[in-house]
Amino acid sequence: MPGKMNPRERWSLLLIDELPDRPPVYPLVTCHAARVYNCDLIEYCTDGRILAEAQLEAQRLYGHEGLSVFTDVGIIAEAMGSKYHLREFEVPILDSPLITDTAMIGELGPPDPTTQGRLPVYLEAIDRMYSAAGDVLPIFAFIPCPFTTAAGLRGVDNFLMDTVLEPQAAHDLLDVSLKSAITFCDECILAGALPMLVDPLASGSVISRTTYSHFAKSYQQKLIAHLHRYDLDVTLHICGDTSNMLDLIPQTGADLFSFDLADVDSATDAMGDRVRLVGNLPPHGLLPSSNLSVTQGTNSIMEMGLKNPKGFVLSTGCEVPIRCEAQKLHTLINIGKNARYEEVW
Amino acid sequence: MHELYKQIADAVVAMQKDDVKRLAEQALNEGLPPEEAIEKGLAAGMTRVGELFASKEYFVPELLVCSRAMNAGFDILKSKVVEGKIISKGTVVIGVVDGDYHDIGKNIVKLMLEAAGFRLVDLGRNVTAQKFTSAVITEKPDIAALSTLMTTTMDSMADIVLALQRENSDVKIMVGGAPVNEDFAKSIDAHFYGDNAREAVIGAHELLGITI
Amino acid sequence: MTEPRQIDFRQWHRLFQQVPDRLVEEIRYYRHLPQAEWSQYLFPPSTHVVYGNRLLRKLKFDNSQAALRLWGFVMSEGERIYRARQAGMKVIAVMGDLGAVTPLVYSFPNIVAFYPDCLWWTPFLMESRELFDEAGQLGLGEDCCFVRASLGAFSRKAYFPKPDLCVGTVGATCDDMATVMSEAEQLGVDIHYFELPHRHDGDTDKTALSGYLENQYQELCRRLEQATGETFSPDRFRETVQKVNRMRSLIAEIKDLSGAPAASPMGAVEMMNMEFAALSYYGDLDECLAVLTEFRDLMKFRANSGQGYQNQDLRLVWVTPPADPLLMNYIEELGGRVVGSEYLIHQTTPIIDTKKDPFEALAEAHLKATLMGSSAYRVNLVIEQVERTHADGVIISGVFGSSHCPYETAPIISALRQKGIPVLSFDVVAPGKRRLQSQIFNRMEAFSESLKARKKRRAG
Repeated sequence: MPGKMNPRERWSLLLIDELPDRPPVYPLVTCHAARVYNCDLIEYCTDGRILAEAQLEAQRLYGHEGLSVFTDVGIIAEAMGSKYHLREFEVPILDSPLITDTAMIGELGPPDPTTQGRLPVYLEAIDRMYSAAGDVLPIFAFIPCPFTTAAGLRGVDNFLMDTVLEPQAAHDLLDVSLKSAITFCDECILAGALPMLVDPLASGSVISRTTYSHFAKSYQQKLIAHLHRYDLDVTLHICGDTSNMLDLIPQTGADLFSFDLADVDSATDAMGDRVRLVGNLPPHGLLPSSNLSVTQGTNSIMEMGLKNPKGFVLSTGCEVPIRCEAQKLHTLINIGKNARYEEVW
Repeated sequence: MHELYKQIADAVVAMQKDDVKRLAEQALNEGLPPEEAIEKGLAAGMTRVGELFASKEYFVPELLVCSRAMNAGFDILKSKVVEGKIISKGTVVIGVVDGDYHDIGKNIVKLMLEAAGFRLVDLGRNVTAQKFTSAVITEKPDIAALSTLMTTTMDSMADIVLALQRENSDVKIMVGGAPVNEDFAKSIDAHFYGDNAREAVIGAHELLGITI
Repeated sequence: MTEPRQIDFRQWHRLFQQVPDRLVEEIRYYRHLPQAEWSQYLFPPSTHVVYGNRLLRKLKFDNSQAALRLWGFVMSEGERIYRARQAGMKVIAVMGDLGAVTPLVYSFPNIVAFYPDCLWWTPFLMESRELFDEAGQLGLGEDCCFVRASLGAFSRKAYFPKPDLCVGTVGATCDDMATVMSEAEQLGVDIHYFELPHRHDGDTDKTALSGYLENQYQELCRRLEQATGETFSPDRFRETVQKVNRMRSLIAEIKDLSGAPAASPMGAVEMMNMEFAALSYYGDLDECLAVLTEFRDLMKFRANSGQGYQNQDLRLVWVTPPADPLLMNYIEELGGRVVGSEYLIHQTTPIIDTKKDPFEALAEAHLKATLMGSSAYRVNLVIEQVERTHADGVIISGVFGSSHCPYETAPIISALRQKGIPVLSFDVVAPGKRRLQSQIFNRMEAFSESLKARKKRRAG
């Protein structure tokens, strides 16, 4: 149909403070794509071609408006030396952290994204997606923030305790994690993706405002500053409950905030004049077992989202579950696609 | 209450492992009953920590460090406990559901329940429905506690609840974890959903009809 | 200053780290507005790659700060026009005029002009058929010139804000532009038609033509007054024209500097971008002057110090802009350098007399260099370029469906052949047709080989 914007066009208007015809619809379809493509998670997480094809296939099925390059939050920590366990039906998880003693931190350096760990998988996937559909679909490379990478290097419990017991060691580890994130971001950009920063562990469900400010936010800030130097629009995604830190988010410099357990209205109050919001149907609502009404939930989110002054992207609060029920995701996406801003011109 | 108990509890809350150790040894030297020092010192401290966690003054890092302090004291005191002096309030089998290896939440709940006087059987991470049901058969717990941090594995939780019910066991099921909520818990027929470790402790008491 | 080199977007991404923060912070457009984060534009090609400009991954770029600035300025134009509207400026689209009416438009305050026809290179930059397909759905298929992409852009409403007025120039300009305009009008765009008289030859009565053009400009001026709510001011006009003249002189000077030195001092794509600034100043006249001034200074420095690219020895004149910048890169890879160009924008070249009545001055300048008319006029322009730049050969990149190409390409080729000047002519292919494009590459290779052999023979 003539006159219908494509996803790239819609996003590009959103990012220059223009209202597109409607908010982009971008649920975080990550490893669920493997299920759509009918491959196992090990293939999906280790083969860039498969990751790319699965993403493209899922996008063709659902028609959501962005491709997501994401397997797990350990991607950088693994490339630096932590061991992750790959599994057929679930996402990779941390097996043994590299840093068993804080004295080891000094020897760490950023990985080479073109050779180390599964970083080349991301780069190949991005390159393939970009060549296949980069003109009409933005590609988001999910980059773990330093806080999350540091936890992957040190072990979650140990790293969280380091923030209390050995703050200097925690900062040293964060510094090298930051350098690694920058190195990886640069390669993802060159492959054609826009970095989307994810910091699941920097969640208000896990750490306090103070810990967030000192150990997570300042590194998010530095990473975002690096990307801003290239004039890139940065999405920051934090999982879990962020309601106690909403007011701090604009300080990171993030252009878009993708969030989970906070309501859109509160997020609008806290940052709606400066930050575009991306959210936030609870992912469990998409499971076959859930009796949450996707229609009701999405409608209410959309209603709030349309009012956010700086713009809105309809999404899920976190990753779409691997076993998501297709029909439920279709429902969310259709509601999004039927929403309208006032006439463009 | 002995002043030392209060000091032990304070040291736990203040995350001071060395102080807790010193005070625990002092309690033993002064001939105080170790089980009392555990209950009124360490456990009382952890209860306060739990409250601080629930009121969002403490978060996971603080909780972990407090429990590290508590454990240091516990190691010293428990060796001197006379058999049978501590009466368990009930048995809880606990685990992170199949597919998920994130055990921070589970460990916190375990810690708090132990501190509150429950006997815990920790099945660890990535626990399958089969493993859960066989643990229920062998351990005969009063409660099965399931945790997950990831949205991607919430379905495993539903599967496990179903398997436990199929076993027709009387075990009460409680669930928790970042992506889980009341609605979801209801939808999979769990008996209790706890938003945090403190609620889990209250819930465990409620499920077993114990007044705190 | 660093040795001139052509580098790819990957190398620029790294090199950009060395560009001082201060510069990135300072270089902005719309300096008359309060500084906003969005007004910075000194960013490397990789930035624009991320937003879907896929061709940039294949192009080579000059490694100077001046060229980076030019690229940044060109690539930020789309956003700039939107920001202009957000800042309360009036937005005037100038279509098909090829630079004729922009000086008048810019002499109104708080106004910005842009050239929708330039969207024709967007499908090439993005390696995308989206805008062509969109135009196709609206009835303009492959038998229309690549400017049909601008119809796609009008339809999608995502490339520029709705213009307060669209000046649609017809008559002595490309017919396919007029087709696009009439289709855009169907989409609700407010168009003021501006008719250009055809090229004159020696016998034409210039007074009558001039009078006619003056009327056209006066009428347009009234429409602009209506659209902006401002009154035309001759003083402001003179002030604007002085700037426009400065720009035109700068462009002429830069073109001269590019052909003179022994080694090529600048890439052909950068030169084309530079030259196209004359159409609508990329949406900011003042900043455009600053960009070109820095560019000129660099060119002067390189010319004076004899610095340039290595191994580009074949001197070529390029006729008709290629829409696909990769073609220019390719000829450079084959050892060619573009020393002269004839991009059909002669209307942007004459100096406008600031002492005369504004409308008379505009008409007079226009008549010095019109677009359409006798083919001999354009043939002479090409020949003159070839002789002046001592070119070894000429490349004519035609555009299928463009009205002037079938009429003018043949006479240009025949005139060049008569003079013994080798010429390669082809039609540029739309993105997505890789096989056809590789045929062009083959022909370019053969052409450059034969030129090299010819040169060798002559030297021997």
